[in-house]
Amino acid sequence: MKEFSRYPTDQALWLQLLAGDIAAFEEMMRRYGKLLYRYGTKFTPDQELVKDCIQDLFLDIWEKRNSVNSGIPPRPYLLSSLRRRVHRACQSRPEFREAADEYTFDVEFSIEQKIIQDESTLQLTGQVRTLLNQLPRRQKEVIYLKFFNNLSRDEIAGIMQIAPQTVSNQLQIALRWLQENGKTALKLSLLHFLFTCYPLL
Amino acid sequence: MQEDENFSADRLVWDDAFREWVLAPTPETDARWQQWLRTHPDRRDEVERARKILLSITITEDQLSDSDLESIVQNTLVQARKSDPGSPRHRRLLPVVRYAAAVAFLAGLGWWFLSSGSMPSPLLPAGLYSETAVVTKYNRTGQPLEVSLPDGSLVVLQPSSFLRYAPAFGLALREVELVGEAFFDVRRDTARPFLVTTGDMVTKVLGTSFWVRSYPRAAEASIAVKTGRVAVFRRESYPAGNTGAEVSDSTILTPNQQVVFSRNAGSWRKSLVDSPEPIAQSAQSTRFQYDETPVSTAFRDLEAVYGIEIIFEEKLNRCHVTAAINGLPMYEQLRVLCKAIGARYTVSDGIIRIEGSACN
Repeated sequence: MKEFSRYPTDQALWLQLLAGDIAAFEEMMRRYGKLLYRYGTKFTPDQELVKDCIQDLFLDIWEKRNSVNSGIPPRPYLLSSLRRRVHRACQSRPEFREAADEYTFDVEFSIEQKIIQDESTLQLTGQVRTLLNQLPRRQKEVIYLKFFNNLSRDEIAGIMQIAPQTVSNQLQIALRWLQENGKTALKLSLLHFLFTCYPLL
Repeated sequence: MQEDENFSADRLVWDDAFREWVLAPTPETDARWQQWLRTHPDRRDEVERARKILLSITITEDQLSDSDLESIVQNTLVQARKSDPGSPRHRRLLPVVRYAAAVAFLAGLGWWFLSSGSMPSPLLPAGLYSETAVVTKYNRTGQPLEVSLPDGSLVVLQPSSFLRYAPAFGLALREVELVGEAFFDVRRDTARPFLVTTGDMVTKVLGTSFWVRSYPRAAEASIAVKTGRVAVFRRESYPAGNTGAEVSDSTILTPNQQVVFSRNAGSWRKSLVDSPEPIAQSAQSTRFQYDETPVSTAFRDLEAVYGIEIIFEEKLNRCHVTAAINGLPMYEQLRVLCKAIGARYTVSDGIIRIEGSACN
């Protein structure tokens, strides 16, 4: 239901928040709380930890609003801050320490079956899903941020603390892998899905 | 889109231009793709397949409940105020934020309404995609709001009403959801039926104009047809995404007919609209002036002008009327004709029936 409450724009709200408007601060939390939680829980199964991190993150922004760089859009800013915060919190907990270096990105791609009626498309979709779930965590995260959260290459680079070129490379590797493996599997079982083609547009 | 050796759905799914069209289209991109599809009809199936894959791949995610979000918000606010004694405690909301909150509330209401009931929405699944894939128009003004859809159809959205749609539309279907009231003037496209989903009913048309009224808390919802033919289904019996199957729990409406759905009784009743209007093309040529004319001619005129079926017994054929009934509302015209031949009319199921005795 996020799309209903897009007024004022995130950017306008963000500026109001940074200018000290507590109502804008509250609205910002309502807009972003669920998104941040979804992202945060990819890194740890500890849901309470993620909630604490979200709360601390917002409180921190409010207290330091005068020094926050207002040029960074709120979405990448919040995601990036939460990511750092969750990692730090995980590292400080002994029970998660061994997993801390090997950060996880636990995302499960699935299929909304209602949309698809025919068996062959369902099969193809299932295959895309399986391949997605087999991707290494870093590539999964890039795909998650780009395709499921509409973030740009540079924003993703900022969030994941890697170079923009690395984001492009990871993405290319992932898509090539999806396509090559998809193709092999298709050739074995679903030959008719392959078409030689004409340039599109 | 780049030149590509293998044009297949699983590649198309990751293509930026394709994704943009499906998830966040503009009239320009939509026109371009539709145009491309017209010149490449053999690619249509594959494109539609890719579209479905794209829309269907979602993520199973932990979701923060509303109550958990609320407690995060409240806890943070308490601490923020504590840490910030300088800021006024009960600051007035900026108007724009107040408004946002009102929209969010109404939206919640609409959303609740749309998502209540056992039948899943035939629109896109809720989730991350819906943030970009669905456009919501909310008429916050006091005036009717005209909304142009990407297929060229026009919607006149009444105040306090919501319209939600995935602007790319499907290749097989054009789907919108309505909360509230709107007039639809649907561009004819026999290949892509137009579906309006409301709380209780699904309305399916090919190209026509009609009213839909479905306010969440009203006791009744209705659909009334201005021109063309409209099929209305009970929502629970309309198969999601199904384009062809006939459903028994449905009714066909023709001009000036309406169906009124009673929410409490769960029943619906087909009838005529309160003030039937002439159908555009036949209205001008009919003069409605009779001089010792068989009454059947007058009834046939009414049928043609209003598109409403009139049933009368054969014995009335011998009745003649002399009257000028042009410029009168339809029910007044009927009353005059019936009075002249000593008959009476009844309306049921959207059909007019004339009963009377034979004339000499």
